[in-house]
Amino acid sequence: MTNPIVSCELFADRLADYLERDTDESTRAGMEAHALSCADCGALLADLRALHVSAANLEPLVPSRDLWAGIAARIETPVMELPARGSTVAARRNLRGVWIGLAAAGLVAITATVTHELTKRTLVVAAPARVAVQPVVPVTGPALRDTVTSKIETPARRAAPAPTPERALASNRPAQPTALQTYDDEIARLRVVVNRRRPQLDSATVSVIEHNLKVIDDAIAQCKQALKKDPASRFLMESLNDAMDNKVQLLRTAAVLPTKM
Amino acid sequence: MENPGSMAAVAVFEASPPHAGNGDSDVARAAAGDRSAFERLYRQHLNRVFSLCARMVNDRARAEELTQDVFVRAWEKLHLFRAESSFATWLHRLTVNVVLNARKSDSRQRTRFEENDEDVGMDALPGVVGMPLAPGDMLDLDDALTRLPPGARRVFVLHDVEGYKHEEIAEMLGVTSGATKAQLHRARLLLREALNR
Repeated sequence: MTNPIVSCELFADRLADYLERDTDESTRAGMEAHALSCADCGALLADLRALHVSAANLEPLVPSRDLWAGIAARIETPVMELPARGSTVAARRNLRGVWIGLAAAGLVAITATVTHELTKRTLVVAAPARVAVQPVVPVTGPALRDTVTSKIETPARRAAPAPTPERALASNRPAQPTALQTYDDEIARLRVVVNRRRPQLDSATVSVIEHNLKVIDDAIAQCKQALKKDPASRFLMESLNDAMDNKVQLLRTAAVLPTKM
Repeated sequence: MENPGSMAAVAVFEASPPHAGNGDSDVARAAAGDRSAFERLYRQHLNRVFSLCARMVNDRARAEELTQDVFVRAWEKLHLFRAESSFATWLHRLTVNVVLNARKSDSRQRTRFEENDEDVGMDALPGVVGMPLAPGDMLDLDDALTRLPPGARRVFVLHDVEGYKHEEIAEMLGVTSGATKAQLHRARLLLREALNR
């Protein structure tokens, strides 16, 4: 069973290297000579070579069902991406600021004119202005990618050129300090308008308005309190934003209510 | 041992259903957000991606989930694809990455059993990598693969089935190429033993 140069033990020991072509020429020649002279080692070498060929030609496997529906649903369904693991608390707080900042920016863009008009006019307005106060600022820029609910981006959208200067400016703006202030300023302006209108409104209506404002103020206070304990909570951020929006909406509605008969 | 022809049917690896679009143009269209083009790419490459997943994880249901993950990931990453390699090569590497990443997260949720079985042989893990064979039972290569210890199976699939080099596999798995060579040889010997029963 032995070859003058390579024994069966040595053959087995060096077989892996031989198959990987990691042996020198003389060793290869000895291995091949041994394989020719030893039936067992020859069969082993032939089997492993055949195995290699068979593995490279394995038939493709086929899934038991069509998987496309699931894939299509996932690439079309809105997803909420979470912040990357390991992001700092500071970063998460910053995201909160960006989110609220967006809402506030939308608010400013849309309602400032309305409020201005309400303030300027003599408060004789026929019907409430129907203007959405939801943020409509374009949602772009890497800083927002982790903070907004959006569809999975298409490759083309991801490959889009860098943000325009305006967008870059918007995303780089320090949002947190001005966001809540923006809401507060807007609310204060609307408050002035509503207070001026108070004598013109039915007392029962004023009572309902004040009651609803108190409910909203309580909700805002609770959200702010909860956010102190959990500053990264998206739910709380959204709740705060909703409450702020509701308050603005209510005040705007009150500002344009018809005068009592 | 049987001859290669009977050990496993020789087949064209890229067996795929016919598709309407040209591969390259479908890649460009899909990268531009065309879902129909992407679906054609999916149908063209589905079997190959699924095969790799199934052979790597040894669980067809899990492989179907991973296949979906691969294509969702491909959709998200398609803008990064450069024509320096073929789309098939790019997708293939993406598949390996998805499977190996899933293995890491899966193993965190399971016992460490699979990770500690590297020193055991064929059929040593009934119910995990396969039930013991009755003597004389014949196996084809895919059946035999399911009975390999996970570490050896991964290396064998990546090297002998998929054609990756040891250096590439070592990088993917975070081990040395010496380790992958040892695993490959061990896998081949175990497979030969199983196929010759």
